[in-house]
Amino acid sequence: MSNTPVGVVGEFTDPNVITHAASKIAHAGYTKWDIHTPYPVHGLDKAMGVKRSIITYISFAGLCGGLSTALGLQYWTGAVDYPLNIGGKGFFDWQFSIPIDFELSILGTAIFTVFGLFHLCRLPTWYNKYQNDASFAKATDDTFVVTIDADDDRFSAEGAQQLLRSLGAENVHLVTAE
Amino acid sequence: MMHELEPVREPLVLGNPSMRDVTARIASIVESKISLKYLLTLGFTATMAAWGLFALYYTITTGIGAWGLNNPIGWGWDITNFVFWIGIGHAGTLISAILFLWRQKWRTAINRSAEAMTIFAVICALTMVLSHTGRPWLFYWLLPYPNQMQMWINFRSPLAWDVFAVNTYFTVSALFWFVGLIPDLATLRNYVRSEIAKKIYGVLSLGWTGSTRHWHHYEIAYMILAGISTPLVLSVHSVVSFDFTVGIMPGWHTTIFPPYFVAGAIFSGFAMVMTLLIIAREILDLKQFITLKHLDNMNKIMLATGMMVGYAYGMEFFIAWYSGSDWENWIFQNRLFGDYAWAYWTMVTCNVVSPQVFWFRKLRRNIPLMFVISIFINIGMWFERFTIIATTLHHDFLPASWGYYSPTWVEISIFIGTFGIFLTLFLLFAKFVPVIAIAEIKSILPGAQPAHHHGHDEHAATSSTTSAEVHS
Amino acid sequence: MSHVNIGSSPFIAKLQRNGFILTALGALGMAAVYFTGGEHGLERLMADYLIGFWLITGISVTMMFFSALQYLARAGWSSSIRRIAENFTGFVPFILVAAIPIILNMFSHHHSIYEWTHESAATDPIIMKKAAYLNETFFIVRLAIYGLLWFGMLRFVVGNSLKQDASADDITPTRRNWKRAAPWVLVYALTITFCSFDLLMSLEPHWFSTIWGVYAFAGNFVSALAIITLMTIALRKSGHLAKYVTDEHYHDLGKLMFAFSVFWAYIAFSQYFIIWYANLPEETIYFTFRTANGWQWFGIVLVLLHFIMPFALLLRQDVKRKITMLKTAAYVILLSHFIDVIWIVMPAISKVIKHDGILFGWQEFTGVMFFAGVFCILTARNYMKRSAVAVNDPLVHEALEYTS
Repeated sequence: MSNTPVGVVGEFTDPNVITHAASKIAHAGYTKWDIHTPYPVHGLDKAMGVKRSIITYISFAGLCGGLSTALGLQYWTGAVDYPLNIGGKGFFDWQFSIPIDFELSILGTAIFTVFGLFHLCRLPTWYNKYQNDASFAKATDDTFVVTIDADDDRFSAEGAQQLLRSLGAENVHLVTAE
Repeated sequence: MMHELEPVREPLVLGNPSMRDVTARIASIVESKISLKYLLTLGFTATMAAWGLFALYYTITTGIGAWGLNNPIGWGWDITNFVFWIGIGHAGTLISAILFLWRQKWRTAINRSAEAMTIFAVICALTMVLSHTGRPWLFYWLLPYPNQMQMWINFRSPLAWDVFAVNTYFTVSALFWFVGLIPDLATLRNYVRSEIAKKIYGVLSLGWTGSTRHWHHYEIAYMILAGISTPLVLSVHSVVSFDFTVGIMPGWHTTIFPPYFVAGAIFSGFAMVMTLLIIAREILDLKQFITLKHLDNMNKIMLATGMMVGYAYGMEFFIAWYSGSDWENWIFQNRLFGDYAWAYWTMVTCNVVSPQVFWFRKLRRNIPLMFVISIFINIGMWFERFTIIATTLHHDFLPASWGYYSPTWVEISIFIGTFGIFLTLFLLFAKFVPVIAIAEIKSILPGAQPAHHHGHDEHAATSSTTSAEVHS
Repeated sequence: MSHVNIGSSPFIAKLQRNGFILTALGALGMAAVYFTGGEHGLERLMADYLIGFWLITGISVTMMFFSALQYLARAGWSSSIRRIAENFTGFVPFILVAAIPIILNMFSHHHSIYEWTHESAATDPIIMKKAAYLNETFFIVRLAIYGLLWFGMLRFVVGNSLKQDASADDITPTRRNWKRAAPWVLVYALTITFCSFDLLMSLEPHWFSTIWGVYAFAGNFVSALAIITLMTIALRKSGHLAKYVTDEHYHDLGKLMFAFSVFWAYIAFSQYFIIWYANLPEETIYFTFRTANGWQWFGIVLVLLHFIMPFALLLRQDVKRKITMLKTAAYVILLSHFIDVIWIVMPAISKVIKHDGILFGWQEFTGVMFFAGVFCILTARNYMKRSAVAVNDPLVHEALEYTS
């Protein structure tokens, strides 16, 4: 068993302590680290210094895509490709195009949002380097699990463990891989 | 003085469970042994579904002539059931999206099952419209695609809008539901002992780890999905109402239909959620999470939406008279006293009269009573759609063609079958998927959130400088 | 907690002073409308009076509804700003008095703005069918019923909220509202609907629309929200509510304005679309007239101001906390509500007085100035009489702690 370090893991249970710890770790200059929580803890992302998500722009692109598809489709098929007088309505009127404009805008937004989310969270990733660690599994149950990756520039097994302990983490340990 | 002793706010989760209790309580449903009671129920509902599918098979091989439709009544139970099922679905989106945006925390106990219900109900609705087309294997004729005749679908037709609306609704509801499920599936992945189950939940959870960086994207994405689902749910039933309103049939062409259909959909959907939840909390023992407070709130919403529906009935009548149009006037007299008066009065009794008991707090917390009322409302809302369709069609503009419509065994069987499909899917869901949003319940437990995380400028300043450092 | 008495503050004094100025200018303006209007001066005056009357009546009554709704939902977040809405209800007891000119105008025969009071109505085959509803006596009786019910709602809902100010320990008045707000919401729904039928829809007595009541509600509610937002911002800015209003309140008010301007658009579009598509002569006449002769610009401006502008301004999360954006959105909403009411009333009047083309000018600002002035004066009076915050509301602590 060659001990390549993967990272350091520490457990927290108090939302106040973890929020405080998050800003401290961010202050210490770590970049490749994370906190795994069973539910979103308010303000924790801010304390960690997470940049605002770009997902809103992705969603907006989906909205524009859906809307232009709807308008283009209805206009082109109705007024350009095969104009047909039905019920005395125009070949293309904004009024009757509204329902489909709306539906396709929503559909575009939803699809872009969900797949944008998958992309930003790198889902699906069916492997995680901490996945065999017992502490890590608790993150979906009742524990806030901090992981500091070994490939962080400032990483040292001792320093990271020291920091986590000083911030009140329990069960701090080094995770290694073969 | 008794009143003074009641707490101002009731707790949303009873018994003050720890987070581990929540995980165990909900996740263990998946691992528990399948009981005989469950199997028998599933067998029963699956038989209903099979019977309905047989009736569908019979319809497809025989033709729509197998139904009781005639001239002038070209829409019967098929469209009634379609509107009924779409309406049922709406409560799911309402609970998950609108109550989410309004920060109604009590929704967390019921949103998951309500969303599941939405999807299953839309499946039933799609079954109804597809079979109604007569040749369901040619369903793609409903979509705009290049074909030999070089013709496109008619975008001026409300039926084309319906295709887009219902399919969008199904897709978005399914995506929304799945996104909500991901963290809970990850919890199950880490909870279950069986290796196979671990693999299955592992794959389904897409490798979610609960990373705060991911939660950050997730929360915004969830907010956007909730945000777009809200107008979507309004639009879907509005588009369904356009099927009726944009024509000129008396009784159908009336401007209040869009919001009235939406209110009715929410009303009927809540009634269905109620029926199912009362059963689920008994069988799965979820009284800790689905409390009387939740049921009380839902009864209030049913009362409110019931009143809105009653308001719409009233407006229709008043304006039918006020319009001075003989057609409108007559069609509404026909509803009251005509051949279908029995259907109309069933509707009014079930929808407007029966929810009035919910004015009283005691009755809002009486479980057998609310169960009965919720079934009444389900019946009433079905009759509402039937009344709208049948009363307008059976006496059309040409008295010589006036007729009466009764369903055949085939239509009745298909309707029973849709209930079978709906309940079977719901039972499978309740057993194999977390019926309650675990992560959301945890987030509202006392002490789950930091005490004073907001309004601290110092805090915000710290984090922004940090992020500047980190990312520069 | 101690009351927040800001009656003597310069802000309230300014509100009152501006109220008097507006009232005076409005009254002078209305007189000018009458004297410069020639043959149809009275109709023009009454149309402008009706615009102002409807705007302020609808909004004042809707303020009571806002309060009742907060009780019904047991909303915690709004408990510290609910009084702002309640202080805007000062006009409610005067509604019936203010309605007297409208009633008197009905008896001036061919000068009445309501066509169904004209002599020709007696032989109009469509109006004849409605005579049981559209007649002077029943109209007056109905107005009286609305006014009395609204007064009752004021005494009960707002009254209980005020009674709670007396003591923090005994929350009986609040409990009474929690329990009994629902029937008053029902009263509001029915009165605002039929009042909008009577005052506005009957201006075109042939025309009808079942959604009309909902349309009236949507416009009034979003305008009430805009006014609450503006007042909340102004009071907080002048330092009066520092303890009670947080950015979260801005956020929620912004969210509500956003939601209800979209709701208005939904209702307005539903009405327009269904009538446009079916194209039945007796219904489509309403929009045919209002989308031609220059009136179409009102329709286009409405789409822009009542829907697209608030939508674009308030869509983003962070914007709902920015005061300038919120204020802009609120002003845009109020302006568009005013345009909406003009678009409803003035084309109908131009039909009554057989005026070709657009009927809109400085005159249309006089009635609304008068009533807005009265509204300001009565609001200022309320601030002088009572606490600006429902300090003893049992949920007020939630309003101070919550985050969105």
